[in-house]
Amino acid sequence: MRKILLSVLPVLGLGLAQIQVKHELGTLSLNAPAKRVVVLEYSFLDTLLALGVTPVGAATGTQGGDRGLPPYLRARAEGVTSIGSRAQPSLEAILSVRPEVIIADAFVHRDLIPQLQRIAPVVAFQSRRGSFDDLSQQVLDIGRMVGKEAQARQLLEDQERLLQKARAFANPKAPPLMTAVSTPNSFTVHSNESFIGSLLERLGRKNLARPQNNQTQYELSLEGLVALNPATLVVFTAPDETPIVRSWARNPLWTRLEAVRRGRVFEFDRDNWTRGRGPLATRFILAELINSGLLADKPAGGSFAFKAP
Amino acid sequence: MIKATHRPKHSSIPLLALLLCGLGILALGTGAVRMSPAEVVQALLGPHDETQARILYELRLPRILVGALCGALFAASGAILQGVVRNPLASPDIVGVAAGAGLAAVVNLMLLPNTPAWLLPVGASAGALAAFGLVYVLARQSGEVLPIRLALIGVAVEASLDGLRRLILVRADDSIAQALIFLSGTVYGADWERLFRVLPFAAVLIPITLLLHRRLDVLSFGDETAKSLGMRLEPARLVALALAAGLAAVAVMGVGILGFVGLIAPHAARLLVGPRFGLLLPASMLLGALLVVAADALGRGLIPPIEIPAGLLTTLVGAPYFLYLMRKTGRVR
Repeated sequence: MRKILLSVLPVLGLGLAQIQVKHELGTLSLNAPAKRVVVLEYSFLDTLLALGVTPVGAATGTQGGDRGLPPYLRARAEGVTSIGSRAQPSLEAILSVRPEVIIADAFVHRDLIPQLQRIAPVVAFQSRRGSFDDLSQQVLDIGRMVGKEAQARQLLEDQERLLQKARAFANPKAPPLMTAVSTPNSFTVHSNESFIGSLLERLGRKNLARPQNNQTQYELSLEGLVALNPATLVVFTAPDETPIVRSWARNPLWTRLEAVRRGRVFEFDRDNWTRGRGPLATRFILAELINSGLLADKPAGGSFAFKAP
Repeated sequence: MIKATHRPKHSSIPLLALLLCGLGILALGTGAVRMSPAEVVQALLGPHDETQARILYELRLPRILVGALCGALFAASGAILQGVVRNPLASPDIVGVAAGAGLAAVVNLMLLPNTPAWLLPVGASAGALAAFGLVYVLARQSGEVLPIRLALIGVAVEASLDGLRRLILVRADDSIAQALIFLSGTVYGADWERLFRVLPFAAVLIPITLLLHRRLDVLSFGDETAKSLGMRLEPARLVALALAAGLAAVAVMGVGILGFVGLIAPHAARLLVGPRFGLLLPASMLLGALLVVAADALGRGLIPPIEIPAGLLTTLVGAPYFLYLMRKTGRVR
């Protein structure tokens, strides 16, 4: 009896022929996999490209402080039509590529969703504020939407294997670390529930920072940093900017930081590490993580050591 | 009597209207998907490509109409203020409209983080009106509001409300900063819904303003003249100022705070048609509409698909014009 039921169920499913994807705004139903997709965040672009799907449009423009495609994605995303920036995507450009689905960020595009919905059905995920698990789930959801569920599962399995490998490098006795993005005028802590924070926790490195007021990322001053006094500090910067943390390093307080005394201040590219957040980015991050010695709690060396002024 | 040098130039009005129509058609063709004026007319009237028509009807047309309408509202507000305060440098900002709107929007977001997107601009324009009320009450002294006092108090109130807004923002969630983008003055994302939100208020305020043009004339002659012509000065001034604040507040609802439109448009209109409000108001409104539609079209067309906020472009034009005006008025004295 049970066997019959099990064999009938897929047939029933085929009869309805519907793809259902739960997201922050509700549930999206599709009769067939979406062929024309517009993405408004880099993690969605990364995910689609990893699945071998080229979106008909992506928000890769530079505007309002947006820095364009992260370097690790540049070669792969060549030829993807830009429909403006993430903060202000061009509605005309989106309409002109005739999407079947638009994938938006539930936080960044909150106020824009009614306008987007008039163009095509909108799926909204927590990308900017999502954790590593959230973003992995999105790989599956996006895979289902474009009819590549098997490939998505494969991607996640491969990723899981890589994570296990990386985990073997982690020193279980290492003290908690702190991760932050530094721009010329800000120092933004990424807590244990941010993408990068939760990825590092998954790999066995505890994060000192918890979310504040429900924010997984928040700004901190030099004083705040000294008060928390992390034993390992990981800063994400851009090579074409002079991050504020570089000027902090001239302050006598800086040398009192445990991480500075232990020589555990690491520096990575912020575009690659915090803006991609997809399966391709994860692969890139894991490789650099292992090479840098961060997981093993070795002193920062070579190109991954913080460049003091 | 009045100097006869300003011959009323009735011909300017139809000319400006024609110019606005032409610019509108050009603007309809500008953006991420370019269309020639002929293609625009074809898509609007004849058989057309579905995508092109959707871009025109759903995105560009409402956007241009919102821009034109709000530009006109800002300009009318500025025209009234420049007349009543009798200073060519006056603009809606001097009655606290911009800072009031900004503060109200921030408070609104702090108290109701999940405020629906439409409520925010409505709250902001209520804040603009409240700020005007504050300026008026503070500027009133022994039953009278002197223009110079109004201008000074206006600047002070503007500065303090703006300071308060920044103070609150320092401690605020970054999602609030995100939601406040609209305040920076942009027609981005304007749709029919937004047009129909602004339209009823505009449809009431604009005719009232036009009907009152003679009273505005009298007010702009100066207190003594107005009194000698038998006008009850204070009530008339209150009505004029409230009207100006209302016009600007409604415009904020549509496009946020578009810098300098309320300053340049009426000033340029005065150069074109003279100081009489019968012509000055329509000319200002047409120029204000032209300015915003042009700024928005440029913003969309310069480096598509990137969008430059219209407010940025109007400020780019407005700030030098303001400096030029300051030098000029300085020299006259």
